[in-house]
Amino acid sequence: MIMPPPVRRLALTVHVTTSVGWLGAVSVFVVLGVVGMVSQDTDVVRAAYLIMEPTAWYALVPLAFASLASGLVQSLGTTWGLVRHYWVIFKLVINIGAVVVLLMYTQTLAGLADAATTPAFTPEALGPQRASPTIHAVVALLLLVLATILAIYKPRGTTRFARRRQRSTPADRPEPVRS
Amino acid sequence: MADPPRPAQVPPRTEAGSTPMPRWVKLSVIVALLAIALLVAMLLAGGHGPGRHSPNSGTSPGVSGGGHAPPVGGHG
Repeated sequence: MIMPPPVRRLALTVHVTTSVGWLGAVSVFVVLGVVGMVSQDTDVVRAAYLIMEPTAWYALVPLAFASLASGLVQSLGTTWGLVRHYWVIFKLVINIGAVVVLLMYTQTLAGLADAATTPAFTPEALGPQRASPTIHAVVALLLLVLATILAIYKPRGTTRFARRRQRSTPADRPEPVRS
Repeated sequence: MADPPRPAQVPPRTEAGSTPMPRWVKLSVIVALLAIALLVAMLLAGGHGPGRHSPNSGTSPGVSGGGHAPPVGGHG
């Protein structure tokens, strides 16, 4: 079902807001990861690891799901469709992949938070694994920037499914938007 | 996602409807497959994966603690 323009603009606003919010939250996570990785102050490292877990659950996860859901609404409610354009499919795959990895990574964050709460905690005990949050956050940031680039540039390319539908049902062809 | 497609953003259809897959799509798929293969190899090698940093995983000498749980009121 194609959304009328006012609803479409509202849905687009929600999608852009949640997606950019997710990007911003991941940027904060990069900072936390770097602090936890390089700081020599045990209390600072402990604080970084302790704040990562609630940040993930209360900022990253909700924003990620909101971005995914609003993106699905945007694609299914407009003539872009979900599987008609390669760039839409790529964005969907990036989004789903990032959500799945994020949910899996909360286990690691919980482990780091548990470790940070113990009196015997020392950053050095984690060894090279101290880099893990930073690496994951940077990869996530790159993927989200890539998704943003796809959304802005909308590189050409329609799928075989879209071409088949265009041939079989001319009424489904994307119509230009009247501004 | 954004405004619905404008005419300039929709590739011209050929008579046979056989628009080839764009080069950027092919390249991206190859890069993505390589990345996934690398990730799978790391997972199989045991050098990567969720929970590897848990105090109970044996990868964090010098620290100990109980199991993990989401923060109170966390995602259900």
